[in-house]
Amino acid sequence: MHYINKLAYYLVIILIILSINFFLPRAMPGDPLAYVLGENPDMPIRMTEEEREMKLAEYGLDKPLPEQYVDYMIKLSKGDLGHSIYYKNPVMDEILIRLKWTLLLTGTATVIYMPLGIFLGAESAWARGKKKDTLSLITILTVSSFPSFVLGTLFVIFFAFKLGLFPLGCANTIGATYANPLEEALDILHHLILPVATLIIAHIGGTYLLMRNSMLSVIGADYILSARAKGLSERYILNRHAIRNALLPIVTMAALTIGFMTVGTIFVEKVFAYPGIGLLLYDSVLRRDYPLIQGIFLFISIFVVLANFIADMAYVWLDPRVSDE
Amino acid sequence: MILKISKLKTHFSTPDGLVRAVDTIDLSIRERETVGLIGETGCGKTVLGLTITRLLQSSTTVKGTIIYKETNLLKISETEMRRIRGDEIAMILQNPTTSLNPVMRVGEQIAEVIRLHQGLNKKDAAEKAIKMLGSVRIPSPSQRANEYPHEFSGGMKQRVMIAMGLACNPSLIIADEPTKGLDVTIKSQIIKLLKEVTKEKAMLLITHDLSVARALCDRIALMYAGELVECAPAGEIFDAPRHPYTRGFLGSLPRNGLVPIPGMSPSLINLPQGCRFHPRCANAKAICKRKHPGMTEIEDGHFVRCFDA
Repeated sequence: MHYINKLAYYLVIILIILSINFFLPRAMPGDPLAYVLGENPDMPIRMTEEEREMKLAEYGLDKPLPEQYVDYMIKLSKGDLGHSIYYKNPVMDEILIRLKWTLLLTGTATVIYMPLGIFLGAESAWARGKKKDTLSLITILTVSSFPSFVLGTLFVIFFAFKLGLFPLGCANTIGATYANPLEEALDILHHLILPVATLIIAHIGGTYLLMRNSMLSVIGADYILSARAKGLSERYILNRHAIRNALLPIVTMAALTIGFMTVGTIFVEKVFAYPGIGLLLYDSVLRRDYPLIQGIFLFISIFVVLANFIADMAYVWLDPRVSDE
Repeated sequence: MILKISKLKTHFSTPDGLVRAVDTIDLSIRERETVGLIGETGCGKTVLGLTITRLLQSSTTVKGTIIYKETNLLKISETEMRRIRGDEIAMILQNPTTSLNPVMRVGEQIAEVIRLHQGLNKKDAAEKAIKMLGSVRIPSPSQRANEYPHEFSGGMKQRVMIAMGLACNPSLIIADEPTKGLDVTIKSQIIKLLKEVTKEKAMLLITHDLSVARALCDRIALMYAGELVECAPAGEIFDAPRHPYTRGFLGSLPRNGLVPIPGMSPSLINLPQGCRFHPRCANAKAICKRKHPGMTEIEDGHFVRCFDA
């Protein structure tokens, strides 16, 4: 029952999000036609009124908004996200090409920074006030307080441009032919290291701090004293009694950040010219490519909702008190 | 003698000053004896319990000796102390609601201490945990062992705490307010249970509830502002209390007229000169303000800290 209720709840949320996704891009000043011709939006549009009307009609943009909205919803229910005004391709195709890169980038970063932040936060809190705690607190906070685009730019300048250790950008070498899959994988990895490192450093501070604080409140709890009174070792108490309780607030945060990571990488993808969803969104917004913006928003929303759904389920698993409510 | 505490001091340094939570206490517990440690909130009774089991922060200053059987607990290493905790000396902490881990099954919380000290494997320890739950009269224990603390009522949680404490058959139990927050019928059930399960064991019962102490204790020690003020067999404490604080404490019971002791217990940072109780004492004399009275044995086994006794 719990799962079904939750599912219905998320469906309603997605419906609301869909509507917002439709109206939001259209509320922006400017129109998509300027970019169709590859022109600068500040330049006068060299199109006759007739050509203009024709073009708008081609994308269904001549109809009144409510009608466009209904069209959009009907198409969407059939799984059709429409065509990109700029690329002329189906929105779905454009997104799927880019999505794998974003998933690779954020997935790799998350798999590293999340457990690492949790581990360091827990260790730090358990050694509170000691040298180990102070040192990691200062180091992590200092490094993590750089905005990702500043850090990314510094990385590009130093490691890629000055030292030439890494490529300047992109997800793989453009136009390269690979002798075998391993070679391709290594090329992709080579391109991945700098943006992933940027994301890890930018995100680890939040996880670390939250875990540390959460752990500090757990350390003072009566059941920890209770565990000590049983004669259990500190390591055992940390692993078996403290961490699971301290993880509870982390789950919510993890879900939110993982969900938003798809957009959170906009800066990093821009700096490293990494062809992911973030970069695509950035370009689409500039081009007023309504169908593509809507499509990306939809994907991001689904990700966020999905991440929240997983967090809810994880909560039930982690905290036995939740399932009864 | 299973426990002999001599000249024990437990002091904490805080930004406001030195807190003398336990200030020179001598107390012994014999085999199979239940000693009640009674006093108002904040008099240092819980700190005394935590000092015996060495569960206070390492920054705490502890002086004196705590001889358990033949060992001075203040001299042994942390590893040796861990072997004693939960095995030989069990502590039943106050507030069972917060003292049980909310995300761990109740059976496992008992089983882990059995595995640790008795070296039983997972399966045997789990079975023993169920047996322990049964021994504290928890109905359908094998099913309840798989439940989480929030599925238990207050009284049932207290039973779990008792089962956890008794799991390794300790020689000494320190029970801190085991009946706090329970309603009267549940309270009497817990008292009955404690009486039954500790028949063969020594127990230090920390409480501010005289009715609990009366039902369970062989001897009672009254604690005031970090020190003992009276210590005697339970009957004598109730029938012939000698210290004005003891009399005041008894007088504040509902059936004795609910007469409160005037004033408040002093801060453990700023203790009064002379007798620590004199600002609240109706019989205070000039000497009480100047001199700190020592503990004197006025009758066989009856100690009082008062010039007037």
